[in-house]
Amino acid sequence: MQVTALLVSHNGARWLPAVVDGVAKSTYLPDSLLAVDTGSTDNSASILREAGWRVGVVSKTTSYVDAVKLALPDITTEWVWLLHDDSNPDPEALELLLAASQQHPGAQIFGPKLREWPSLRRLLELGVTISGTARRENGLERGEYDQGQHDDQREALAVNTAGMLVRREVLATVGFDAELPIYGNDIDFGWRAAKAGYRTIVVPEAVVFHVEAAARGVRDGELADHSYRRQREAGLYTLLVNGSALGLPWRFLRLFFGSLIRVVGNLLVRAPREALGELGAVLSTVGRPWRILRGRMWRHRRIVTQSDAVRTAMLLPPWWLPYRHGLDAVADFFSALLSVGRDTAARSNGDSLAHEDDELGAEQPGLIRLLLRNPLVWLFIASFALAAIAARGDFGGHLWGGALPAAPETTGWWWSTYWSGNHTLGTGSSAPAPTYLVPLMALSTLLGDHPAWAISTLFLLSVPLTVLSALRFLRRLITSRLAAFWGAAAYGLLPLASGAVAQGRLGTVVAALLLPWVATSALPLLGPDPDGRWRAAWRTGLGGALLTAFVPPMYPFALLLGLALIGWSLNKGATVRVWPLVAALVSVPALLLPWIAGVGTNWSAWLIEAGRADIEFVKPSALNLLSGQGAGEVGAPWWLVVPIMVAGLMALARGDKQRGVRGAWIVALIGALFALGLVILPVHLPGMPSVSRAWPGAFLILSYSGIVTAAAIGGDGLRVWIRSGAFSWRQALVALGAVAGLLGVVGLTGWWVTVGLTGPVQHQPVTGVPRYMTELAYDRDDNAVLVVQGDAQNGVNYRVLRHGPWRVGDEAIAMLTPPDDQVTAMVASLFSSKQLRASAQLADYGISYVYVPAPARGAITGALDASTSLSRASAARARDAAWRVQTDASTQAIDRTSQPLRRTLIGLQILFFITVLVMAAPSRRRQS
Amino acid sequence: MSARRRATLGRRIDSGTTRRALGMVALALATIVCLLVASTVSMRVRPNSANEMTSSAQARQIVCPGHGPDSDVVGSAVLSQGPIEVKVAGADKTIKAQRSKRLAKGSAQSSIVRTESGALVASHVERLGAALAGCVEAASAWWFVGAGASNQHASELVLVNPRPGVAIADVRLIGETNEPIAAAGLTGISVASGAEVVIDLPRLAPTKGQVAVEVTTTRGLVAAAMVDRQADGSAPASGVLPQWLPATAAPAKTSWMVGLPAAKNRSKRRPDLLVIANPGATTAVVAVLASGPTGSFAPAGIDPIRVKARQVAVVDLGKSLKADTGSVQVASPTPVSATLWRAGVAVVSTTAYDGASALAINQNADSTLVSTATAGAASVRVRAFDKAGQQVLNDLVKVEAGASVLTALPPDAASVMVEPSAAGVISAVIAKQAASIGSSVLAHASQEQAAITVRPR
Repeated sequence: MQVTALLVSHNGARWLPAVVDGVAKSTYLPDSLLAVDTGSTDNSASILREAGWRVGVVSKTTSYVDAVKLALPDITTEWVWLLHDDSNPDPEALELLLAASQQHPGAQIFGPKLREWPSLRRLLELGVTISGTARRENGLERGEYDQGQHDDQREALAVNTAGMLVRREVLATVGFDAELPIYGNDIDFGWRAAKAGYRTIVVPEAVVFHVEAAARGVRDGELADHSYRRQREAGLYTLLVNGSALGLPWRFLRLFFGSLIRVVGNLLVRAPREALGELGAVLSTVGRPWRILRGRMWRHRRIVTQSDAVRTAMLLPPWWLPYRHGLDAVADFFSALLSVGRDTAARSNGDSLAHEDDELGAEQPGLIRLLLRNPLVWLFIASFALAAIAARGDFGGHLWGGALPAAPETTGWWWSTYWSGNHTLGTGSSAPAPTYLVPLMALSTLLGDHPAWAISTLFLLSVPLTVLSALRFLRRLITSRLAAFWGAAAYGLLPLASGAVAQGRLGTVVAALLLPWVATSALPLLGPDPDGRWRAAWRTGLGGALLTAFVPPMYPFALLLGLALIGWSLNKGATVRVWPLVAALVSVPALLLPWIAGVGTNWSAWLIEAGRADIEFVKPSALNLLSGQGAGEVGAPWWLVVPIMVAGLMALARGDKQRGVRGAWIVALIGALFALGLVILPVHLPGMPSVSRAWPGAFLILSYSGIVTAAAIGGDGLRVWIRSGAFSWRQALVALGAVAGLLGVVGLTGWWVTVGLTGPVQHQPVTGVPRYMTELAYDRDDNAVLVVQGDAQNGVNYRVLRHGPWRVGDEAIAMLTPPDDQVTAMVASLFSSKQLRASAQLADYGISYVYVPAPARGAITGALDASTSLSRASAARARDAAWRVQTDASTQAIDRTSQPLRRTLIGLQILFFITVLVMAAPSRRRQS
Repeated sequence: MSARRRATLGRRIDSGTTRRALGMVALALATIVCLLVASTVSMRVRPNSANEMTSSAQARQIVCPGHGPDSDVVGSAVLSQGPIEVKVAGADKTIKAQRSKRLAKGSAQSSIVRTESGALVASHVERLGAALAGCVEAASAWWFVGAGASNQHASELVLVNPRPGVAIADVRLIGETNEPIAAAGLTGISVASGAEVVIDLPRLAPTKGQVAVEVTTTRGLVAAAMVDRQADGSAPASGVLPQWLPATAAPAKTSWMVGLPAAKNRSKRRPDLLVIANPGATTAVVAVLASGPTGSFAPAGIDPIRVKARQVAVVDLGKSLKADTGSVQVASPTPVSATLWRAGVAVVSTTAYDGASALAINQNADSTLVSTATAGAASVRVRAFDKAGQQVLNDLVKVEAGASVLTALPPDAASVMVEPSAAGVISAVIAKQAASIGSSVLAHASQEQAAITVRPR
């Protein structure tokens, strides 16, 4: 039995010394050593010559298969042992392969076990096959270590050309396909060999160590560029030319669409290079169908014997394999999530577990037990229980009042409001719908299409949710668990204590919930890891957009902070940090594009938050503002909230935590400045009947969040710090602050559970106009109600309620809609003696009812009674008055032209959102 | 290292620490100062009047209920700068500025005077006698205190609807006992446009003693007036000449009855009767004050009057009121409404309005102007004009707080105009001609009610 070792080298000088050494040490030396060097620029050829190989040098454009073909005439032995310049055989490899060839006389091709060269232990291949999606399958787990688990000799479709022992005649008759110069030629060879009746056996005892330079992209050379794309191309080609002719059209379509899906999948896991490679591969395959035809024709002519197709088919993997891979990927993802959760839970239990007996071994306590031992879970449960008590179990129905309008009956209402550029609200409006409807829609859909539950959840569960959100942030900053819990509890009680919940300030309540999330996302922005910085940038952009949707004045604040950070980074020379910051700042307006475009130059729209901006509130006194309350007479008494500020102030005395406390107080100062700015700047909104001031509550909470953070930092490791030094006034102050802070939180909790939720916001049936009018108007545009209030001396004011009382989202549109002078003139004419056309005009605007709520003054009701085209209708309460318009209502006078611009912008917004979401998702480990 | 160098180093470190500490304290203080400054910023809300519109002036319909062939409707334009166009009984008339004109001769039917001007003041004037009464405009609620629904004291309620569209009114009576007075025909009274409905109270709801009548509309507006006949002793009232019982102001915590006729008209058969109506749900304790030239004083011998819920109380004041009392005030924590009957003339409680007021007066009688300052002290400019519009009197009268000052009007005065310097002044004219006396409060211009301002919300 004679063996020729055939090695094809191309710039393999890195590995060749080891390879030739390995061959030289073989227990069975090949009878002939033949090498083909394809124009190496390094000293590969000389290394080979010095080791005694016969080297033939050919041009550098010669591919592997061409090189083999060129060398074939020079081979006279029975067996050929193919080697790569990066494949180092084990000393016993050749001997074992030859032994196997004795054992299996019916087989002509033998392949060794391939192990990874650097580590020498990881399994690479034990025979390969190709799946229905043109993926190279080797039946191994990724990174599997060789522990003898695959050590049976078995038949395979093909083996890698590195270390393959093949009969010369098989090599001559079957040959390699020139269309597969580097990748995939082994599978194609094996497949055609199988079809021709030859058999391939895998011999695991023989080991060859392979670098896989080409596939790894380590090899240089033109043919090795775009390795992923060429691998996919090769796989597609192999499947298409070797598969049965009958299934060709089906396979073609499946591969085409499957490849497109893989393109999208690669984009979603942020592997754009692979996506492009996939796209290139499928396009080049589809774009050159003659290659396939030519290949098939060539095979048809060359096949000597038609072996039984059944046996060949058995060598291919089962059809469901690709889908099993998909399932595995999904399972991997979820188990990764779960293990993260488990790690977090374990970490937070770190203090107690550290004292456990380590000799018990590394047995992980079960997830449930970990959770139950976690005080976080208990905080969670306790806060939800308290919230339920505070709400007195009153969860159903509509929660509204104060600045919070009622929620609509279905989510579809919000969607149609958001989608349309022209609203029939009031007297017709082309103002933009607010962006905060989108997350509300999502929340409501999650809760089973109950918008009212979405609003109720946000308000009644405001404290627990805010506490959890703040806890996540504080745990990143401070190590002491007690201080973090205190800080989270203090911050969570803030929206309540400031009266935002009781007044129905939707924007402030949600902003308080979101601020810690955004802060947590933004922490890695200044960190060391570039991938982490970019992900943090996108996450911050997403969170910031959500925050800005609810409280637009937050964006100028973030802009200021971001610009300051950019300036500081540039100053320090850390320019790599600048681009993620810019991305975060720019992505917020991009995600809010439709609203920003619609608002235009109404700068006052950037001053008000979600919810009604036109309600009157009592001017806050100095004590109110110091307690973070934006209005007087709502919220907790000042002596319950000011202790928290005292705690924050006392934290200044803590000498060792100065940097953190200073940073937190800077945030507090900027928040207070912005609150002051909001209080000073007048709000001129077209739809607002008076020039007023915006509600500063969101920034007061932001400012207080800085104070709470300062206090929490000050309380970090308090016991140790107090015990460390001698007793001094600093320690006394900080201890006082700690006591004040604890008392404050305990007091506020008590206040929350007893009276916290009393205020204008109540669970009440939706009123504002008589109930039957609301029901008639809800779905239709032509049952609008004209609500008139006032008296003859002070004048009357009117409002047109198109679909009943305002719902969440309507108020934002109404604020930006300038009043229609024609309608004002029409209402004025109602009170004139000559009002011949008044009712016809009312009907043209779709108004079917006129409603005067109590107290209905005589002059007003008399004027309306005198009109012949208004007839009295039933009013809800004794002192109300209502009339029905006798003429049939239509909506002719309302502008209903569609606005394609808004739809385009919404489309762009959705695109940005998906992009940012993908970019913000955790990175997937690259397939190695 | 020398001790001095060590000390210097230590001090430098200390100053650095101190500076940082001070900086942090400054930070915190700045935050607190910010918040305090924010509390001082005025957050006054300014109404945005950019989109206001005013409805065109509403036509006014002034109703002068019919009295008889001897009383005329007189219109006065003293409050107006220019001539006033009126339409009475289909005929167009013009009243030149500062002049008075007879608009309609006496008739049993009500006269409706239509005008666009808010400055027109119309009143009913007796040709024989001193009686006079102001004409009224349609409203949605009326109160009459001191009416009667018995044989001896019979009142007729006249409802006139001068506006387009039908008006529907409800009438409620309160009597001296706590029996509820209910009668068919008192609710849902429909008054067609331009029509007049007379409700005979003794026939529909016979009640002893004095009653208070409340009229409310459920639809539209009506002008209401009460024709009152009181007989002395036990004779039936049908033969007595009718009087006008003016409408009182809605029940209030403080009520003023301004324009008491001269005290010497009191007689034993006709004492001063104070009728107080309490429509509320709790007993009212009413204090009475008499207002004279120097101020208000509690009259001797009149204790606080208890008026039970939903009842009328009648108090015989005898001669407790001094001769120079020009007006009477009743005050109670529970809103009440009151009328003082003196010598057959009803002086009813009125509301004080700001601004000028005027009245066309009865030229047959001797007229005196009574001005009461119900709030703070005021100086009142009194001007009287004759029929031709010539000014015959121009006086500045100082009235103390709570005082009532009389001003005699010249005999040829046809109309009188009063311009107070402060709010809360009520003026009335008391007239006397032989045995006949009359009293009427001055009427205000309703300029502000002519046009309604409409604003979007």
